[in-house]
Amino acid sequence: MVNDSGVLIRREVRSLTDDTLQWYAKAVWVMKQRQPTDPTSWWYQAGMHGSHEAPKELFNGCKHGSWYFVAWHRMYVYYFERIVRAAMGPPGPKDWALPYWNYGRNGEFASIPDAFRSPTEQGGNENPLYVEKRRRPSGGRPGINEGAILPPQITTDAVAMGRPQFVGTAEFGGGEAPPNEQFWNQTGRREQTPHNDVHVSVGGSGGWMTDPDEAAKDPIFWLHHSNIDRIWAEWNANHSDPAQAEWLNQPFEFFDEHGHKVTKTCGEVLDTVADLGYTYDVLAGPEAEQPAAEPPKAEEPPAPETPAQPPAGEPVGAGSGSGSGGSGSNPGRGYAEGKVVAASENKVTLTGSKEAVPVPIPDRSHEEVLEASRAADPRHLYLNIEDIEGEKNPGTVYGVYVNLPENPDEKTLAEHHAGNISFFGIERARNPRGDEHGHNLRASMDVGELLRSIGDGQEYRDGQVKVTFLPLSVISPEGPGEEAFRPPEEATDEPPVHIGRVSLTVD
Amino acid sequence: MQTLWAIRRRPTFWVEAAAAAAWAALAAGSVLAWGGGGAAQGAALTHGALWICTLGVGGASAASAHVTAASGGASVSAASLLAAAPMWALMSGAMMVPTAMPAVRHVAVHSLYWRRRRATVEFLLAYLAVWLAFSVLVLGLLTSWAPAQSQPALPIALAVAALWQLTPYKWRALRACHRPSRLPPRGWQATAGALRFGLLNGSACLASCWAIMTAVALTGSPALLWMAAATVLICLEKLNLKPRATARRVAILLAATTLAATAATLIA
Repeated sequence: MVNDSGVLIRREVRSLTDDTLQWYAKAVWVMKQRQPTDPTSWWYQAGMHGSHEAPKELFNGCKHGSWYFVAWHRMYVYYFERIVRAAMGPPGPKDWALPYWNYGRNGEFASIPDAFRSPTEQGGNENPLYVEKRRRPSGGRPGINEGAILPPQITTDAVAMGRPQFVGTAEFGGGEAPPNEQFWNQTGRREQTPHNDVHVSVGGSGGWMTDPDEAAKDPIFWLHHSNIDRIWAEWNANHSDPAQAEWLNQPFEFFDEHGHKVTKTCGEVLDTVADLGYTYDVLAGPEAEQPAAEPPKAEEPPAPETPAQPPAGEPVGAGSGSGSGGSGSNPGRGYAEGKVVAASENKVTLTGSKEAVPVPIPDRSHEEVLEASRAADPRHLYLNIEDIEGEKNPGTVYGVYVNLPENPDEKTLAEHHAGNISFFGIERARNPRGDEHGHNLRASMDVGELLRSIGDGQEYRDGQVKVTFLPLSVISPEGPGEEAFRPPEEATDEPPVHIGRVSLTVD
Repeated sequence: MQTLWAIRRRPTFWVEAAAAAAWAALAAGSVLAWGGGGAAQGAALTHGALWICTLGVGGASAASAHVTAASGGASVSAASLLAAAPMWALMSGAMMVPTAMPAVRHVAVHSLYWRRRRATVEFLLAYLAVWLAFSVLVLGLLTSWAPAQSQPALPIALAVAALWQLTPYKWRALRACHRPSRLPPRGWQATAGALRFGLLNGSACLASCWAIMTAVALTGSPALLWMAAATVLICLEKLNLKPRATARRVAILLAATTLAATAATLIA
């Protein structure tokens, strides 16, 4: 649908009462019939994100672990949407817009819509929106196609939306990264949660959504990315994008609905309405269709994180980039600008069960840690999960909990939750293809406010911060109140993921 | 002033300054050797640097090593190899430390902030030990070997360097130069971690650059320019985001230099 100004409106998939998804299915079917060499075919479009096959022009172009993540995927989804609309042919609605999957509303909203779950359509035809390679049932929990619900710890955008700046690994959009690398290690908060976590939760072990070289073959990929794009648009309403010319002027290439090569720079896609002619129902004003009623409250535990607020007087989005070797003092830039005040002594290996690692605070940095986590202090205290490496993505998302007591209830879990780690692209980061460098993954989280709220300044006086990794499971639609973290007896022998070190840094 | 302050606050400032000082010492040695008539001998810089180190070591054996090496004598003693070690250390420091700055920065940034300098020194000691061992044991022996002083030696070494650039081993080694290593925060584990990373990174660097460095060791006058050119090439390779493509370009440059050196040999 369009608004009065002719701007297309992307709507929440569960609020649709028309045939938008039927037209999507038809277009997907049409695109799947096209020759794989046709840039507007389903398989070619998916290959532009990543592919295990011999690369064609503009294949393997996705940007992850990078501040280009948001802009590249906005362009990718925009041109895909145009290709889909054109594939419907003349009978299709001219104002068709890609819906978004707003799993952040939790409850039933956090399962994939029915239209994507059944192998066949009404009438017995093959359902083009169905993919068999999604998370399978295991450990008494249903698979994604059985209606499994993603837990709120995974679907939340609270941390990302609460970040005051774009640039930085502990900030909204990710750290500065080279423009041509598919997988770097400057993942921002929004890319991690919900983006990476939802990918891995839907794909599970061996599913398409877990593998960046297959993910875009799943029709739900595009509704997931439409939602990720909506989160950027909403964050943008009162935050600024990077001002650096190297980001704004960075071009990326795609194919339009005619199969012609087109180029856009990041600076040309910042305003979805003015630049690209679309918006989201929640941003479109009263004329847009409103989302359906709120989900049952039983499925909505308290928000797992307390979003950090920008310090008073801090200019929003004032990142002035000086490259990864820079030493500026911008608040919230993440690891690169910080100094290490504490680090774990031992490695942690994650194989599907709960693991904890102590991070001893040396006497010498004791006061600094306390001061940096005070509200009045302009500095930030970051928790860094470093040197993450593994040969295979186990398909598990881990919640990262700080100073978690024994036998915590749901409220305590939410209070101690610093963020998540999941390993989308871990294989490719370690063993890159072509002429790229290999490296390990990492994640950074601003935990100053969290430590202050849970410890009242006392919690880490015993000389250490304890960091616990809890595997997060999907929830059964019949099991309201079911815990999202996996009890020890459900532990599986997953491909190991090693964490070299957990550290605390102060900027 | 602010910029100057920002530069001085960099955790790796002193390493950059030390590398610059090593180049200054090599240049000064080169000029001194020139003034002392070394230019007529060729290999002005090597001898100039050796002269500096001889002053530093001050031993009679070192002085005799200088004489032996300068006259191209075939007799090589362990003492003479060791006496040349300070020179090789200076050359390794000047040439290889700039190419290892990303790793140096990794060590500095990932160490407890009061341990930054110590961890960096530990890393550099291990990293340079790899190069020093190679220089003394391989390059030292090679440059003291009579056939290596003959005219075709340099073109052959350059051709080997150009070919090495095109092998998958080279690309693998270049990638390994960028692989980080776990750095425990405190105690002997921290020292062991920094040394281990230095050895790993030094070995990868050696596997990547041994051929170019061998060619440089066989060059004549003016060696300072050869050394500077090699450092720029290795920096380009190691700091570039597309290592394979850069390694190929460097191979073309080396091949062209091989042809030029061959022509020079034939004319001579």
